[in-house]
Amino acid sequence: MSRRHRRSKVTRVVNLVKRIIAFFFSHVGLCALVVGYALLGAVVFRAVEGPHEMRIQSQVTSARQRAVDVAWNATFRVNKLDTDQWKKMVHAQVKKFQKECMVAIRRGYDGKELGVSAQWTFTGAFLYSLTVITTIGYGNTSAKTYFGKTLTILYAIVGIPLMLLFLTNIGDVMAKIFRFLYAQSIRLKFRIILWHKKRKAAKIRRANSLVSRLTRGRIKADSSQDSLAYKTNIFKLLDMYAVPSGGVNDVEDLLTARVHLEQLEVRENVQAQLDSIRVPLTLVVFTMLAYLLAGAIIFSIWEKWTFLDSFYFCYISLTTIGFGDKFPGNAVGNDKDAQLKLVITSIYLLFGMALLAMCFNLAQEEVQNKTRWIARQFKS
Amino acid sequence: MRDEVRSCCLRTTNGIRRFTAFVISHVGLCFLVAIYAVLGALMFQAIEYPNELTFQGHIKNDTWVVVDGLYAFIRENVVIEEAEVKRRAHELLKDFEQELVKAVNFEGFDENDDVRTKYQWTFSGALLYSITVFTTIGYGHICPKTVLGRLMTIFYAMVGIPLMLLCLANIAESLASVFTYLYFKVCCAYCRWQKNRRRIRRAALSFRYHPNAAMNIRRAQSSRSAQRNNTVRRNASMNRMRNSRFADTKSVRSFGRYENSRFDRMDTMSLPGKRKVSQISRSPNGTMRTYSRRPHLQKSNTTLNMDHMETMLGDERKESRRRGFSQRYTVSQSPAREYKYARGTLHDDGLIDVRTYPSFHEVVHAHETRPSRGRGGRRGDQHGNGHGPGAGVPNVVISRPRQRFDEKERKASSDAEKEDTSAQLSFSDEDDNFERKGRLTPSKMDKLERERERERMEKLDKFDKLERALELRDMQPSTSAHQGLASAAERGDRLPPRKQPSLDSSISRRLRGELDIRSYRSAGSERSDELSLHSLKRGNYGRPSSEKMPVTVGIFIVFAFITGGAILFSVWENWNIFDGAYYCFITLSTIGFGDIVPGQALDEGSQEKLVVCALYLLFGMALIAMCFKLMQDDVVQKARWLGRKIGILVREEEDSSSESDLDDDIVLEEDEEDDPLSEEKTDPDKRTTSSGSSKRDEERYGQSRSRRLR
Repeated sequence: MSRRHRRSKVTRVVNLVKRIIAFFFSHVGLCALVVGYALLGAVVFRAVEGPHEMRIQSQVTSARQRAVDVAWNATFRVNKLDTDQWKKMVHAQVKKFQKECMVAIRRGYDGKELGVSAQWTFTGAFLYSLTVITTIGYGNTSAKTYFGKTLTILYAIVGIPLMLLFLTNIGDVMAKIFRFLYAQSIRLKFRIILWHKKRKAAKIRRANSLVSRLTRGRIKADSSQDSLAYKTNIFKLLDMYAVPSGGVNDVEDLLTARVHLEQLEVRENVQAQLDSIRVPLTLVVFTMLAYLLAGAIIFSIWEKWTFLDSFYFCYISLTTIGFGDKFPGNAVGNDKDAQLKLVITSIYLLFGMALLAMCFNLAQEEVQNKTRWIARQFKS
Repeated sequence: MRDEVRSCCLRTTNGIRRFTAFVISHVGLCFLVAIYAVLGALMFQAIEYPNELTFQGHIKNDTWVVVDGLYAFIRENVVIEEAEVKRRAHELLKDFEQELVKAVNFEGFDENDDVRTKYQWTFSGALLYSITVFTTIGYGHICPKTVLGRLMTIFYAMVGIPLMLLCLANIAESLASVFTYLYFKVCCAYCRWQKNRRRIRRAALSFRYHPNAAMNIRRAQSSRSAQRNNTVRRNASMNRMRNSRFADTKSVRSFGRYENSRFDRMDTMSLPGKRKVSQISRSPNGTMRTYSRRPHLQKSNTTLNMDHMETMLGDERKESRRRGFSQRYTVSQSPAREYKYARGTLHDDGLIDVRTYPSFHEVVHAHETRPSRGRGGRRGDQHGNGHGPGAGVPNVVISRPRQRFDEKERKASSDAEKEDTSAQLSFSDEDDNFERKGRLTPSKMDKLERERERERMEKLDKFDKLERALELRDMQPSTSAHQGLASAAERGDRLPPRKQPSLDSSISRRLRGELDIRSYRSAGSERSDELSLHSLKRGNYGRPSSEKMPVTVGIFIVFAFITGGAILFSVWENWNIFDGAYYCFITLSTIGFGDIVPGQALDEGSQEKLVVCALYLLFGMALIAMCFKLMQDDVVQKARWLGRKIGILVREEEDSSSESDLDDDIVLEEDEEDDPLSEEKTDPDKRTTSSGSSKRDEERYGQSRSRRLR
């Protein structure tokens, strides 16, 4: 009894674990996994690199302090009227400061003031881990300690495949959604056309019934003399030489049938198009371009870059080239704004990569078809 | 005149076509990428260099700017306050710092620049830049500053990235084949040698027994082969994998590998008969054949096994197709070889020879005594399995089970009958066979398939035997007891395997049709396959085209490459080894931080270093792509296996999907073949599922990930 109980417990636990693992490979789970992985990376890298950065920053600060002190002493002691001497002294000190600064920069200093802002804040580290696993690699922030470098390598080894997996997954889902939306839009378009046709048909029918009513009235009215003549007249008008009694109805039927046929044709057309629905390449490219442009506009407003510069930044980022010469949040002195910008940048990047994956997914088939077609053209 | 114009047009179009074909080929693509890089370098240099002249070396001035600024500040203020001055100094120095950071990170500034300005946008620098753009590495240590340069970068990347991807895929393809070849030529030479030795010893041992001493040998053999079964199973799975790998190279058929792909595709077990048949019809084509014997060989092996299984089950459907295939093959082979083969197995494998021997006699006998009754045999063939002399299961020769003795004899006689009829008859016979079997009920399929799985496991075992048989034959040239066929054997032997396509003509077929003993056909095909395989092994083909590298080797290669790069750069650039390794990893994974870039530390000779760096990049990326290619199937398979073990992947079969490619199909199949436990469960689905869905993809990627984590 107890044994069975225990076994059932074990199986339950196993099942739970299985379900958890399965969940991790679902869409939502993958998203969560990637974000969680990036967060983990952020925490770890911040913990590893933060102190080192602080040390470097403090070094630079102290060096600057020294330079300032020397300059002040020169001003204080040396007769300030002795321009040449003063300048020589201060310049020598600035040179020295430059040398120290160079060393610090080589070791990862990037001009952020100690205590005011830092590279390895949480958001900065998050962005760093994101650039690692997306292989963008801006390089404006990079690990400088040995431990950090090793960790980066390991992090990339695990993270890059994970990111690829995530991207294919999300790209697939988004492509499906996109396709669905596109199909819906086409359906809507045809529905509108159908509606128009229907309206036209209704109009015709109405007109027809009016005619028929009129004729009937006339027939009743002029039943004495010229009913026959009138009837024939009407039916000549309507191109109908059938039995006079059912003639009007026939006409009506015919017209409605024609309308129905038209509708049917349109519907068939719609169905055929929906069956072989394929998002055109131009639309895909346009979507991507729109995303890039939106990013460009946003960044140009925020960072006060020129439009081309921000477009360049977006493009270089989303193609995962990632030069890092332009980077949002660098110009701003205020730390909070910079952090916000980093967050927005990382969201933009993540979503952009997913969108890119989607576009690849959508474009793949089309491009393959086209290349095959070209190859066939060449062969024949 | 008009004709001339037309011919001119034709020539130009032909020339264009050839040119395009060349461009798409390996060399052409590499060439194209190189030219693209050089063009980009020239363009960017032209755009950026003049701009760089204006600002490079501004740090020297900036120090003076700081000094002058401070002096001016002090000068202006009447009252000099310490705090004010210091604040001002701080500000100025901070600005200077920012400038310095920018200069160091993106303008290539270093200490030597104070003495002598160095320019980034030299030709080699621009070359490295263009390479980092289209490989998406993007170091960022050199980056365009002008608007035009940035615009051009965007367009350059737009064209360059797809081009590079194409080129990488191409290079990876050829590199993969080279590496597999090297691996199996060099690394596995020792293993092969050992295996061969063992085989020879075994063959010598088994030769001692005379075929007439049937029972005890059989017993011994069966036990031994059972043992071997277990050991060989691993290899079998590997083989299958290897085959299926080539199945996905079919997309690159135009690059001259389609022999492999075709045959390997054939080798996947549960292909629908139609496809197989079409391939068969293509197969008697000499040049292709020499290249691709081995997979086929395995195929025929399985055929044998399966044939037997079918006879027992009284059910044969797919096998019959396969048999038809092997038979067709055999028809093109010389009968003498078949005969010899039979003899070889005879001595080699007690199991086999018990069956074979008497039937063989029968055959000879029948050949002499019953000159013309082929029609009857054929008719019998149409009646299904165990009935009548023509029972369409003649390939049972090499198979284990009981109950076959009489069958064998019957068959042999039928074969003998068939011998006398023309080759045409035998062909039609096969066709009949095929049709008949195609009509069989699917109710027995499950059972059959299970059996087949088991047999598949044994196929390598069979292969083993065959090889032994071959060695045996090599040691003991035909001193056969069956003189009746010896002459014919010699006649057949004289025909080199290359000439077989010509022999496939109806005349030669008829010529050899007399000796075309059906029961030995498949065996014969194996035999000749084995022969050609042997010759190929000495040549440069054979193994590398069909083997597959294990994952560890791929990882090891990448690791070695990174280490080599690390050592190289650490020597050149005076980095330490770790920095070199870090640089190599960051570069080859296309992350490309650009915090460490070669060609900056040293003033002279850095140009060449940049070029070497570029080459290292290109080759390394190709290598990585290659390793991905090699490892893909393996990793996917293992991941799936793991997934099934854990129990996540149960639902993988029932998904529907949009994209259907053969690769996935095959992956799926091979997967299931490797997993006998899940076989029963998945079998019915297997036939219906023909595509991999995204879900499964994810899952297997996920598995691969999780596997890595473990």
